[in-house]
Amino acid sequence: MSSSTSQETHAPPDARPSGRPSLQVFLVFGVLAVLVASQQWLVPRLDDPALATWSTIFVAIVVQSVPFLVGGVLLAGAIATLLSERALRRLVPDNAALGVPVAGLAGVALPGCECASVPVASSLMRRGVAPSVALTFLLAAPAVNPVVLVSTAVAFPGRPEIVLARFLASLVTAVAVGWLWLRFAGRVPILHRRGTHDHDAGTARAFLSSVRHDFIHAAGFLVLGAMIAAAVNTFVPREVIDSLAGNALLAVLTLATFAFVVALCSEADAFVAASLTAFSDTAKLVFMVVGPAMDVKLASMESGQFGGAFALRFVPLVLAVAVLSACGMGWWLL
Amino acid sequence: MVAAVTRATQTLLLAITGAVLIRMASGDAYLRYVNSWMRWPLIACGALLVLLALVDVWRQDDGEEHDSHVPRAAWLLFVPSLVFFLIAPPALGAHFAERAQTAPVALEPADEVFLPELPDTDPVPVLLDDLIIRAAYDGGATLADRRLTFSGFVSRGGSDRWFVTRFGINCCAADATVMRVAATGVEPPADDQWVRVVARHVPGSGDGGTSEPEVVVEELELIEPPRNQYR
Repeated sequence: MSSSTSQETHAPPDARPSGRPSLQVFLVFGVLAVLVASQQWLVPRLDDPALATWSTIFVAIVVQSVPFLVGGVLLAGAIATLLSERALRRLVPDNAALGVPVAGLAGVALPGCECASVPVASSLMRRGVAPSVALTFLLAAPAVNPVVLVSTAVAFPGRPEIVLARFLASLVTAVAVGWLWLRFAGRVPILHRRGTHDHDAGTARAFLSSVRHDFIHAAGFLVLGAMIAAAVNTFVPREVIDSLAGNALLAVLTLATFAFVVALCSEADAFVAASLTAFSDTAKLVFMVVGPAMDVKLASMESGQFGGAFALRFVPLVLAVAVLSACGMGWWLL
Repeated sequence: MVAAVTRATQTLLLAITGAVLIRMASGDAYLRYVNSWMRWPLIACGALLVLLALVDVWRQDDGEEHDSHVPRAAWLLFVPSLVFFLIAPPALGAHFAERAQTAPVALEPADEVFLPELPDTDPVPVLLDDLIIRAAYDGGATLADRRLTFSGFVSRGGSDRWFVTRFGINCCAADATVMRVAATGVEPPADDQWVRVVARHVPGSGDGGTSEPEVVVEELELIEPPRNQYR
């Protein structure tokens, strides 16, 4: 896009006198105005069935996720500015090893989409909560809440063992990743975006500033993930995926990959899992356990929020633990 | 390399995204992407984003430039708004139906299922998903000798078959599953055309929910798409 302003470095952009918007915003505004004005001319030229399908799914994922992301940044803002030190200390145990399972169970009570939990986890870390505890919460909240469990029960009627297996496998994944992180990854650098609030500013001001900052921060990565997920949805035919269902190991790896790249909401993925009739129950369980814990949209948001070094370790760790946990639970219960 | 997003551009980004969400949810456009209950969350969320942008404009003279550095990925937030205006993505149609997989019927043990008799009108209106479920049990006994009327859009399969089709969505269009009934007896209209048909179920087709039910079409009417095209 526009590269006409001179901020190519990481220096704080825009050192010009405050109150005067930079040239950039006028350029962007101009480009947008031209595009919208030429809509009548452009629309027929963009008329292609594959592009239309991609754009429908892309817009659908973004539109579905944005309200949940906004809910997440509001909660994150509340944690960052409204929750007192004392209240926070009462809620989260001092001992991180004990805090991990508590955070896992806390996920049961907080129905939320996975995009909402990234800013919340980041905000918890900024307030001094141990990373392993915040990450456990990040993994558990979208996966084990009642909304997800009820939708799973609806998608698999008369199969309560699938609901139980999903609940246990997701909880085990969240807690195991938390403990592993605590034990082995204590020194992995996690980028802490500076808290945006000025300490002398009022609470309301700090809250709005935090919400604004967190939203813009996460939304770009959400869009990137949605673009990739929509492309997979549109251009990879289901038959290709079904053709890999025969071999047990291949089936598990296929659905783990599929869950990662299609990036569905945890409230809806059970219905898609149920439609993958060619696959074994264990492979379907892997799909439902991996999806809420890690997908392309989350990986993109997490690398934006916590830094690339973090994502390079966290993403594979979660994927491996989720697949193993789901396979173990599938072998035991299904 | 792209330029960093300046504070003023971020404000524009918030305002446009908020406005597009409100625009989408105040008409019927949002129904092409998400469930109908998303309307008020979308409006609230759009209003909040516009409010954040207004607060920015109002506080212009505070000089908050020091915390305005955000990742360059923030530019991407323009993309959904532009795609919405320039491509105006339609509801999913025949192109995706030919790639998507048929939603299986979640079969419960037959003795636990009670399918009420269809009402006594002729032809009797049914929903596509209802028809598929009825066809799946007892070889479609509750459909026998009835003239059924239902609607959907036209899509095609591998051979020269055509289908009366609808998508069901749970959260958003990304998780759409296709429901379809194979039609014979008339020449198929163009892809994506919405039709209402009067038809008879072919006994035994679609039994067990493993394949699409078949119908023989007696009357075919071209109609406008419904307000909400998904089930």
